[in-house]
Amino acid sequence: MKRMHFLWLLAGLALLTGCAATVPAERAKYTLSDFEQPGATRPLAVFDPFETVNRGLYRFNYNFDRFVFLPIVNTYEFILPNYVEDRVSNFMDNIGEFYNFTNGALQLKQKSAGITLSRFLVNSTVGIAGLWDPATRWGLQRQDEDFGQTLGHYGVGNGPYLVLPIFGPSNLRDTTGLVGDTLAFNAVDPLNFDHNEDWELPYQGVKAVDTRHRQPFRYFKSGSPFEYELVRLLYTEKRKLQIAR
Amino acid sequence: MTGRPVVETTSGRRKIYRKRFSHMKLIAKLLLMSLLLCSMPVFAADGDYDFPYADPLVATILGTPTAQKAPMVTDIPVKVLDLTIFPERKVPDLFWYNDQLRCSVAVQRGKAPLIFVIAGTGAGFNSDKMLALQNTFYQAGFHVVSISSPTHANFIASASELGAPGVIRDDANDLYRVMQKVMEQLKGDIEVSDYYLTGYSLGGSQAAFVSLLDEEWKLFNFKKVLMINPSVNLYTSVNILDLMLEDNVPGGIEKTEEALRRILDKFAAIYSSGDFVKFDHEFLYNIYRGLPEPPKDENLAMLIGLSFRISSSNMIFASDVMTNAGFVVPKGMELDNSDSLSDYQRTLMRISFVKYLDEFLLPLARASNPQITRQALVDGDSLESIESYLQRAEKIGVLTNADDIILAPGEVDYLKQLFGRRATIFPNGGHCGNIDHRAVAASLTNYFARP
Repeated sequence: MKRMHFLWLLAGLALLTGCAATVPAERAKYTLSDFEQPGATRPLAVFDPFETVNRGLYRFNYNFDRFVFLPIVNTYEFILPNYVEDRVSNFMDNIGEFYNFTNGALQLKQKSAGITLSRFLVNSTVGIAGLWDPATRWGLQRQDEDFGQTLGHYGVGNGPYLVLPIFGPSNLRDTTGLVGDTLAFNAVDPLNFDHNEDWELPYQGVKAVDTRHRQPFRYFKSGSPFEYELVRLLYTEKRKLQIAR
Repeated sequence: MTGRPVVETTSGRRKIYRKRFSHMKLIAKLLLMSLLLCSMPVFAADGDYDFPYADPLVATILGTPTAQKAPMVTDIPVKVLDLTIFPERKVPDLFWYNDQLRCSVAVQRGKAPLIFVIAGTGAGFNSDKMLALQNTFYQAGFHVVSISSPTHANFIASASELGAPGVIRDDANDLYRVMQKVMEQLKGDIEVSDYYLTGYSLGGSQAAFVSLLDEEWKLFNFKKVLMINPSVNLYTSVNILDLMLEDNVPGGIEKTEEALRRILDKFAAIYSSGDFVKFDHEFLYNIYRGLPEPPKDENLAMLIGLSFRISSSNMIFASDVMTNAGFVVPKGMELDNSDSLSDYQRTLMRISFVKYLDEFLLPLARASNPQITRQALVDGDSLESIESYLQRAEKIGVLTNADDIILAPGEVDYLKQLFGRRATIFPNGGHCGNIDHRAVAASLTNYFARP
């Protein structure tokens, strides 16, 4: 049912944003063909066949951010002392070690998975249920892994670039990864939501707010006319770096 | 006007702010007093200046190492202002997010002097260098108003009368209008004792022209004005930066994308092999320190040229859309939010700033003034064109580096000659690379503190 809503949302946005520009009256003084042969190699190009929809979603995300997400995040930041916010972040990070561990293991990165396991043990005990992060101070650096990276590690390409509603920049591989991670989390159910159903929704809510709280990115803040292109390139390069590690 | 100020803080650390801040203020005051006791030499190269990079290209790219930076106040109360400059203007749909000019003001408690800071080419009001200057001047006790460069897309769309920047006198007019709007907006919210003005890079040059304008209109009566790393002649400077890209891409300018690809791949290789935790500023320093041999100057120059070209692409595209000049976007074409802009961006990567000035701005300027020649435009965009004013205006000073890459040979000497004691020249630092070095920050504070 949830998925159906999502598809309708996508279809609606595609309709809303699908109107084409007016036809130009005359040729511009300079066009790309003045400088480039058609079919020239573009080593930095990102495969983006759904650009029209993606751009619509990019704008949708700005509005969602502005009218829904950021007001909630601002209220959260206003009410809670920074100290408490940091404890929440640490707590969420500690639970998130689930993804780091499973994916480190799937990529057969013994050292990485070992560090993650040690971090989890240290922070869950000495760090009191993950509210503090003594592990980092002891030199056990967080090993960020996810299923998108695992797929990339085994040679799965980016696939088309996607802008997901609310989640933001992604691509087909990383979206698959996101779904995979979520399914794995639900299957293992480390927080035992199967027997504490009332806790699942608040947990997801706090997790979303905490994630946005920690993400300084703001849509259209750069003011650059090419922000969409820039974000697309940076996202793709960043993921490439993460996978290469 | 919809621009109700939003109170923001530079980070979320509200609770510890007051205590730490009062310490900072005390330290700043002590620093100020000790600086006042010693007179300032024209050559600022004394024992305190330990900026490490002798290569101006490295300095320009890497900036000041963390350990030598002026201390940052983490919690400056900053109001972001959204200003409607031309209420009648209908911004094209593509720029729906740029209909208002966004700028910021850091507010002191009670009455204080106010300083306007103008950003450099392509930079927004909240770029890193602007935040560094805000930090310095706020600690020195100023209300700090940060204004995006007139070459920034947001400024072009919302606040440029012509819709295209580059004629410095026109840009100064636009800036002056913005400054008035800022003060209208802040009326009743802050108490101002005196007005001051500064800017870096192109913003530095523009500050001098704004000051000249103010001599006529006398709305602010700036007590002091400082140009930080200004260009002496805009054409000369942008030509240097254009050529840094065009002359240094292996295989020619059409291979820019391949060159960038190689650089990114090299980064990725270093990143994946090393023990780096985060991709941040420290990471860059570590890479630089860990390199088996120093990076080649042509690669560094190419990076600087590339960064400049990206800024100028944004500027030209915004100007083209705003003026419907048909430069890269066909005349009469109304782009909207869903249109791909990639081809325009790629086209603009091939177009130099000088080409923009000659083939876009000059015809545009001629439309309103048919007599204007290229030479007149070039000459007008230089400090030489107002040198008699600069020579006699005791309140205007300059702070730059002997190895600033945007200055042609002889231009540093020209500045020294023109400004005499009012010139502060650091021996190295490249173009604005040392802007947040503690010695430079102290020098900035000291300049405005002197009577």
